[in-house]
Amino acid sequence: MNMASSPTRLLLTLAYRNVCRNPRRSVLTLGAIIVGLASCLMLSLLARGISQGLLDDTVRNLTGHIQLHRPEFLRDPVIEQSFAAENIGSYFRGEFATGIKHWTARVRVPAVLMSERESYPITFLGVDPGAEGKLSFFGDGVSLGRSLESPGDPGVIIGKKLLQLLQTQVGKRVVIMSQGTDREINDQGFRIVGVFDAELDATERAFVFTGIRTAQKMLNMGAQVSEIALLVSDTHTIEALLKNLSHEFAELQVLPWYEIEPLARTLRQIQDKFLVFWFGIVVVAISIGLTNTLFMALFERVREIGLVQALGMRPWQIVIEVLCESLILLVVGMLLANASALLLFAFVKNGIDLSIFAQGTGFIGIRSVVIPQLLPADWIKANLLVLAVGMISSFYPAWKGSRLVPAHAMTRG
Amino acid sequence: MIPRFLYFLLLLLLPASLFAQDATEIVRAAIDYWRDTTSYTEAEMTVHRPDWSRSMSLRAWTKGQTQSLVRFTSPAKDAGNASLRDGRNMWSFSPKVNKVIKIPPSMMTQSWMGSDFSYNDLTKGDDIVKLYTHRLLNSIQQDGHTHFEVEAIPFEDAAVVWGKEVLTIRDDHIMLRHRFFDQEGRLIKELTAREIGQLGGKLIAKRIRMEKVEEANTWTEMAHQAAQFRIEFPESTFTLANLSNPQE
Amino acid sequence: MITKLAWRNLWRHKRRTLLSVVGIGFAVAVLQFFMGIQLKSYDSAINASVSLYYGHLQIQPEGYLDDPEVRKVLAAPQALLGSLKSITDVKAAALRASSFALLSSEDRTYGAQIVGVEFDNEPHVSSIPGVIRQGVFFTSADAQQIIMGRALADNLRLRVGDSVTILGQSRDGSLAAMVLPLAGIFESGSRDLDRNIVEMPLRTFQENFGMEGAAHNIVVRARSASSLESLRGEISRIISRSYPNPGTLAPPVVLTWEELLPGLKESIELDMSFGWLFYFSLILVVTLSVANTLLMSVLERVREFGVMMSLGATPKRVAGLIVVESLLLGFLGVLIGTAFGVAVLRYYGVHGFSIPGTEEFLKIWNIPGAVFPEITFAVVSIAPCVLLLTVLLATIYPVCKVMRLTPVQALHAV
Repeated sequence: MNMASSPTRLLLTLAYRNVCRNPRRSVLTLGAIIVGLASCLMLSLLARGISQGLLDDTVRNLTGHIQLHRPEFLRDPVIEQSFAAENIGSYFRGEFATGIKHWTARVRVPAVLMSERESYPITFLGVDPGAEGKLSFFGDGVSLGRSLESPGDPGVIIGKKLLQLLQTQVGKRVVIMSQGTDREINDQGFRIVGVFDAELDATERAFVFTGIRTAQKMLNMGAQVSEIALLVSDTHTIEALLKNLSHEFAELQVLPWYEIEPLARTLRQIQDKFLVFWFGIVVVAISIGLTNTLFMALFERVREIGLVQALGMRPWQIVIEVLCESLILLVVGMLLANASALLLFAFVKNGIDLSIFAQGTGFIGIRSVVIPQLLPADWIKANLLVLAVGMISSFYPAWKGSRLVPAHAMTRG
Repeated sequence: MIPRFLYFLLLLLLPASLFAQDATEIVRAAIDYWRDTTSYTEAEMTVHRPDWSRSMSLRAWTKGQTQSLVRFTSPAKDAGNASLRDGRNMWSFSPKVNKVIKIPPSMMTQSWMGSDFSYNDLTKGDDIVKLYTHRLLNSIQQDGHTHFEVEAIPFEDAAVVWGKEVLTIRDDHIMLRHRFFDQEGRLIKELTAREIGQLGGKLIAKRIRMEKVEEANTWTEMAHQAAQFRIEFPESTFTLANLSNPQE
Repeated sequence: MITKLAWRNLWRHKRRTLLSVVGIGFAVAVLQFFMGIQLKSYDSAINASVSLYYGHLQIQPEGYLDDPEVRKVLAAPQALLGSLKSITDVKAAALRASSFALLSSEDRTYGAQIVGVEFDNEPHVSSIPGVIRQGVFFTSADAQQIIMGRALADNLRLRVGDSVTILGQSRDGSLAAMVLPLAGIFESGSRDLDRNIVEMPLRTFQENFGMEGAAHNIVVRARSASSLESLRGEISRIISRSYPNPGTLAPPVVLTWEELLPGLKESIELDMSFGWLFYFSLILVVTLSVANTLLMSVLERVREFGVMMSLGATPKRVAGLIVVESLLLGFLGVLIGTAFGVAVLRYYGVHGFSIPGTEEFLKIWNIPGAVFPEITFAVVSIAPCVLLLTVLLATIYPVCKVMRLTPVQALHAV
């Protein structure tokens, strides 16, 4: 054996052969690595999916990525805080059209909805169905009846829970009462044309949609609106857009979603930290098992090590060889783990149904169908952790193995 | 002297809309008769529940179909409380807090002074004429009068929660019964004239009762004790100032 | 006998045994720690809502929950309150009466829920009196004053000391009208409460709304959240004693926070199941490692088993030996793990645990940033049981392999 020439290649070959020579042992070790890593990856898919769902829901719950409204509006969302929006539309269509994916204007006023027997406070929304559909949960459509067809649609869409509370059905009439800009009581009859399902009961109770022009007419608003919401193409551009919009529309307040609903963002940040922490824990468990198996594997081959040493292999080379074996196993394990996690991802890409817990998800505001999210950063971190810790935990057995004295080694077994 | 059957034939040939117009006219006449151009009444309102009952005395001024002022005179804890209506809007005044409050939409559906009328109910005025289509269901002879039964269906976008309302009106324009049905056709509440008599020079329903059909023993009755019609009121009667500063 | 043998076998391979024990112990300790945190944070979440305003239990007139009308009252609440105080599990109880009303300031009018609360008892069932940021929680039990949440005060453009006109409906239906000064503004952390609740002394409410001494609910704070059902039973018994002949007057009902806040319960259950997803991944890894180690050791000792069997040991006996070895290993791991787990829980039970960097965020919403885990039976016992079970499961494959051995095969193995 020519130890001098390309010792690394030799060591690698040896390592490879050793791994293959004892398939059962290798497979078992691989098993631990794969299961450990794959479970981390799958956890990431699920957990990120949930938190992204939370964010998406916040944005789709009428908030949008950015909102424009009168400065007092957030605290006091009444009709007096409406504004004229004609020039805004043309602005959006102009130079900033590239950054903004969708936008819509709405009328939003507090109102009371009355049926023959009951009355409930609601948030009355006048929307442009086409634009609104692209921005908020309104686009999810209706579970009964039909959706609104135009900005002048005279019908209303109400939530399923409200339909139940009112003890009424699609096709029945209700009366909505609110206060106009002149502080006059305005009320009008509306036919329920459709019913929407939302994740939260509260959403279904509170929101009632009609065409924006219908609302403006009923409330004598002319062409005024309560708020404008927009969706950006790339969330990283939100800051820049905020600046431009605030500058352009100085009389309005321009807010990003995370200032309107800061809790969602906080939860995401908490989750970030926790997930990586948990990866660490799983990897430690893997490494304990890995160390153990490596030791056992090594001491099965005591004789062989003695032989190699007698043939001139130096201790540090034994260390490297053992480390190579680990490396091979780790790499193969990582490949397989990543592959199987990817496969799972492809399989459940459209969503995992957690509807058994539907009510609970409703309370904390996440959808009961979770769309898993592949976050490369998570995957890289998990892989690196496994690789690093795997190699580190191989070092001790490798070192111990190299310390074996040939005579002892050869006579053992 | 047209033979009876020809007369009948003519009636059959007349377009239904003429009947509708008749029906609408019947309702309009009844409403106009009841409200008159102006009116002043003194009444006692009794709210009755299965386990208790309460009576209050009040005075009411009305002008046309859109303005009215109600002031309570007894018992002591209600005395001085007043409500002003102008069109769709209502204001309330309480001498105890000496403040006039406009009733917002969220309160409009609450009961007025604990009765079976909501603030919203009181603003209906002549909606029954203007916001509905009418159809004469039948007319029967009873006690020397013709009783017309008119069905009123609200317009598509009318601010009316009811599926339909059925009014029983006498040929002398007195509203005998006003029934409110939900959109499934169930009777929800009923306003009936319980006593008809002369007051202020007119034959009117002196006692009317609003009854919730689905709850036993739950009603509100308004018994008029004095009334005057077509009197002149000063301009300032139906103003917020008057609401809070009664001149009498 | 087998046990002694098994024990000796284990310690023949010190390092291997130790590493396995450490692996199992690690998993047990981690699970105990996180479960302790989890369960305590649920407790905290429940407590937060319960102690903020809703109470553990409420006694209400029948039908009040679905349709709160000022006419629906508890007729003789003082007597009931008195008998409640004698129950040991009841930490505190207080009367409340409420009605929907219009509040009007200089130029704004808003609807809100007016709640009459007992000056002496309310601070023991609700934390609102304790989160008054400006002003005070009434100057006396008869004070003609109100307090409200920050959001409502802002909407009405009010400052402490300003007068508010209140128009509502009395018990008998007549108009309840009053002008009262704003004595204090609270910030409860709950948007809902800050926008909709206005409180005044109970006596003031009863006077102004014609309650004639009646109330609408009794809020009960229990000593612990765990035995609510038995407490509910006890209270129901007391109630039925005062209502021997229900007849027309339906006796009051006793509701727990689960019925008052149904979504909270479900969200806790949901979070628990998510927790188990995480735990599962750890358990799986540890089990596989143990199984791996076990299998390798069994395969390694095939010759030894062969010797044993040729000396008369049946495959079953050998299998039994392996199982006992594993169980001993498991017990050892569980013991060490529990020791560590409990120690860590103890430490954080005193110092509090928080995910670093998140404390400031959570404080904004009055969610306590630090959790102080409690050492309860559930927290300590679940993990060991599960791990022991999985260790047992891990022995299945090796045991099967052993059962199929014959002495000859075994002796010839290398």
